[in-house]
Amino acid sequence: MKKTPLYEFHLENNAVIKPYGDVLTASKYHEFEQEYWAIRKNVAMIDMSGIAKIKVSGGSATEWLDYICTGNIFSLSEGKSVYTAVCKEDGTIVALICVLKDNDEYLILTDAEKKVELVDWFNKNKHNDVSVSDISEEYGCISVVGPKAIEIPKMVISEDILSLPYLGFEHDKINDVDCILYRFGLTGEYEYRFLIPKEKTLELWNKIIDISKELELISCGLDSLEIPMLEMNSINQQKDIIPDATVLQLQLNWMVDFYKEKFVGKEAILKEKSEGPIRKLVMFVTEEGGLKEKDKIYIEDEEIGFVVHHGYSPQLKVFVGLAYVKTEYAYSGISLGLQTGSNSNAVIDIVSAPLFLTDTVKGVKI
Amino acid sequence: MSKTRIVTKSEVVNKIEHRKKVLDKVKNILIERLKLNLSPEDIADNSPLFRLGLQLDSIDALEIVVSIEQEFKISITDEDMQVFRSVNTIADFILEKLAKGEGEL
Repeated sequence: MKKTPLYEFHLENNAVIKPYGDVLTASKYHEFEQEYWAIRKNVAMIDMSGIAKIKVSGGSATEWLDYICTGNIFSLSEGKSVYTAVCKEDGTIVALICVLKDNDEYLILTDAEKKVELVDWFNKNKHNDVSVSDISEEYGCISVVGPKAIEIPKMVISEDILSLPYLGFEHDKINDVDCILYRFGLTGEYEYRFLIPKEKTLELWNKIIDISKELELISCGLDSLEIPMLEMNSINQQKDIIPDATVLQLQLNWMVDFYKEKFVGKEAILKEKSEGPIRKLVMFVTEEGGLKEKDKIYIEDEEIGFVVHHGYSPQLKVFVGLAYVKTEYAYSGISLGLQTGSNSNAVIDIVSAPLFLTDTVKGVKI
Repeated sequence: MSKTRIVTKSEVVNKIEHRKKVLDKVKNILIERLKLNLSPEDIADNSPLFRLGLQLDSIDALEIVVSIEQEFKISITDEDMQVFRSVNTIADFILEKLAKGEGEL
């Protein structure tokens, strides 16, 4: 197994360690609710160094990326990124990725667990004049997340970062070391990611701890992002994307430019749009705490879906989850039957997403 | 919520039919008023309106509020602005108003 540049630090500081893809990093530093509230009320610092970082360059890099992504790459401007999908010809999903346009090159970011499959897929399908390089191990990535997270890059870099829009990034220097500051996140809170050479990652981690005492920042594990993401209906690639799922089933229509001339999977996606997907991923809440993945969902005696992901929301004090449900029943505002191992008469309420407005969004003009 | 509630198919189907009318109308308002190059089928019910998703801005938000007020004959206050998170959350808000006898579909 590989290790992030902060692996030894995490061990020395009693973090729980676990593998994400082929990389070992901190999954947890504190109790679940302590890390959750750091994200929702203050600021959490997370070692995301294990994420895949892939450089794409070459003469037809733009054309090729536009062809393999469902989103529009031609309309991407310098210093901006797009969160989009890479699909197979049958419309199923290879990975959800961030594409950052950086001069004549592109930096692709995705979850560590998706790296091997995505790099293989890129190499099998790339044009001859396109170069694909896996630079994941050259850079660390420190993420700060929470309503107070905006204060960290202001202190580490400068007040100028206030103008950095969501999905934007910029090249900066921290103690004369080149880094990329990227504003992206899926929790509904401010999130800034520092991409920095691996040998400087620990130095930056310690610097952030030193300067942020008044912000009540705590170190958190990567698993702390799961429930805040779930509350916002942000897709967890490991749990929510089952093997034959499509972007339309995941309600990720907004990731698709239906009107561009061509992209891998277009024919299958347009056919599915025309016929309507057979099922959709919907959000639910329930008082039933004993549910598990694959628990079946019913209406009267008809089986119409199954649970794929669930957890406890401290903010709402209720269990929340995602389930695939037959499209004809994939509507908010209804209740459906749920059969768990211990309760054959449980009920879930299908609800609208995102579940609530975060403190970050409340405090920001749209 | 109660773990012993009985969920009947007819109750669910009726709710869905009512909701579909509101969802369709909201999607058409977004497309027409914001001149989006999209069809209603292109917009998922849970698509976020801002940041990710449809990536609307503050001017769009104002236009949506005015349009929803006009089309459904309801009033929207500053406190109600938190419902503008997705098509689905707007539909929840309108359905709640309709259930109280306010506005019209």
